[in-house]
Amino acid sequence: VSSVSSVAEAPVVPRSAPPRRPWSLRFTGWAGLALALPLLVVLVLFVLYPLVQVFLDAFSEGRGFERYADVFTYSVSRKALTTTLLDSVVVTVLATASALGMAWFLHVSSRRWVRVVLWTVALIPMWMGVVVKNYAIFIMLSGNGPVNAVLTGTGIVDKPLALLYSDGAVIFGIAYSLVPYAVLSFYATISQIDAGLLTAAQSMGASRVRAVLGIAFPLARGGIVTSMALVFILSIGFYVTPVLLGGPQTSFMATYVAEQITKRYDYAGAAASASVLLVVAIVVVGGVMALVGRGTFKRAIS
Amino acid sequence: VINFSTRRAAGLSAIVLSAVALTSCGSDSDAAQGGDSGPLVIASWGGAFSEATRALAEEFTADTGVEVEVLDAGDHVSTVQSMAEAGTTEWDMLDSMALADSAQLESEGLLAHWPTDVDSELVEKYGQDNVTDYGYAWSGYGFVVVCNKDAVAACPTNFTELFDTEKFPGRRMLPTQTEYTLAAATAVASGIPADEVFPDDTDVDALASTLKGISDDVSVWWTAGDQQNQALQQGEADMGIMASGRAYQLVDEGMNLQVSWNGVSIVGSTNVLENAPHKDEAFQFTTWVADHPAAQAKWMEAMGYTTPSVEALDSVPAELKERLSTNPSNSAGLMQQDIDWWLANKDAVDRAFAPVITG
Repeated sequence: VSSVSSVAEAPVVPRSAPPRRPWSLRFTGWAGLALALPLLVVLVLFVLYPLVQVFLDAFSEGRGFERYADVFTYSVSRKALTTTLLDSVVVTVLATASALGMAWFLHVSSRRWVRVVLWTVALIPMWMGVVVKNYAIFIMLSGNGPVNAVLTGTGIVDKPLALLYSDGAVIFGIAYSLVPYAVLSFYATISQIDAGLLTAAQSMGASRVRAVLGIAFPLARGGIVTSMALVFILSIGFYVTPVLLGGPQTSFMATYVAEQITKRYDYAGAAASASVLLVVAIVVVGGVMALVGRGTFKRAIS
Repeated sequence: VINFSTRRAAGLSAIVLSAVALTSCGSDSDAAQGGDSGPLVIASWGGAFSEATRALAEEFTADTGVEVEVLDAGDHVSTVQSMAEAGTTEWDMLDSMALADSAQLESEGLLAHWPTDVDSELVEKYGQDNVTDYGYAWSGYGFVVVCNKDAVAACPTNFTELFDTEKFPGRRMLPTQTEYTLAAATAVASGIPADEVFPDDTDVDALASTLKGISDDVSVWWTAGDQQNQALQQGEADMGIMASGRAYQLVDEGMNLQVSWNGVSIVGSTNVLENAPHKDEAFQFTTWVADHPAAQAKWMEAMGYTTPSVEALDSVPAELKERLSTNPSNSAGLMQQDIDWWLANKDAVDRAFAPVITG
């Protein structure tokens, strides 16, 4: 309060009617609520309502709980669910492995060009259109594509490998798409680590590796776990990549839901499948939040 | 410094996320046009298909003065269903629907039935076989057996041979279970005579096990039209089932492709919607097209698919006629779709075949 009144008395401020209440950075609860109201209304109408409705839609044509059971008992649906979850785990590991190093060097490198190159490489997958990106990978991996040309040309394999329409192709495509998200998210965590701490550790006799693993890693651990959860959740929702690179034999839940709607006109079944996927995402977020604590979670995703 | 860079990264990710959200929510503004005073709206299929229909519509407009808008659409059935549910039907006609999809919409009461005069006109010009209460046949082609002669030593010429992986080794491409043709192919390969497909006592699970027998040799299960071309061009498959028009595209591009007219005859069904805002104009368009075989011939030339008018077929160039499914030497080897059986059994086929395909 005292600093505010001293500003008011400063000679550069033209004197008008004295403020009735000193200006404060803090809103009252009601003012804050009023300001947030438009956004809250939009969120309730366009996020909360549809989400609740999706859960209820599964019951709309009778057999409600059975539809939820179908998701796990029908072999096609179960395979889509396990493919989605397992492939996404691998995607998370791959994206983490490639993004963590990039995020670290973005933080510690003092050379400007290194950072420019790394940011460019990290963000290029995001600048490309979804279809262009996946189609490029499609061409790369196809039977007559460059990857197979190199493999057969160098004599590593006799006949072109069937790289497309496989889990590997889907995992590669999704991981490539998610590297930018992983780098940005990791960077938000890692950039808070004071590089001086590492210097201090080394000055006290720690090796470089020990300094990174013993000092930097524990500081970043919570954020890393949260970022991995983010990548995992984005991955389980992928649609275009599994369709283009996976085909019907590598179907994701999103593909299966789309097929239920457009091919079988089974809206209630689609609602049940989508709900199961949503619950998985919520459980992962909740689990990670409980594991690392709210504060770390919020820092890493904001 | 720490705060600044964190915030920059956070801001960057916020920008990126909102950009992603914006691009993924692109709205279909084309579909919002129309209304009572606007043009007659025909929902077509995009690309060359829409172009061919657009040219047909332009000729109609020049002749009658009725404005037509040809839309590039995709999921006709779900769009029509949701428009009817919302009470705001903005489309008038559906261009060349799959027979099963037409029948589905008809069963929901969403398709207009032909008035008596339109019906007799259609039957006179197209023949009774090509006209239903709610649709007329359009855009016919064949799902035929194709084989890249440069890729394998022996090429199958029919469904039975295509399912014989010992005599005809090679990687196959097949449609998925939601296509009638896959069920028909497994029926023939199971030993059911082509002209009896499907008998009433067809065992769907037996068909699924026939499919299971070759599933290891299937490298591509195509779900979209263009995938058929890609799979052969990119060397993902050596042989398989393919739409005839697409097969000849590859032949014209220089691929050494064998096209065997032993397969399934596919026709679309063009419909008028029950709640169409321009129903009279839609009926007018329907009879106008039936009355103008020369305009139909141009449509055939543009699309490489056939229309039901015999007069139109006889007026297309000979080399095109050779490639059309209604040409007698081609139609001889094609089965007709048993759409009643399919409608009654497609859910069973789907449930039995889908696990085979997903593996």
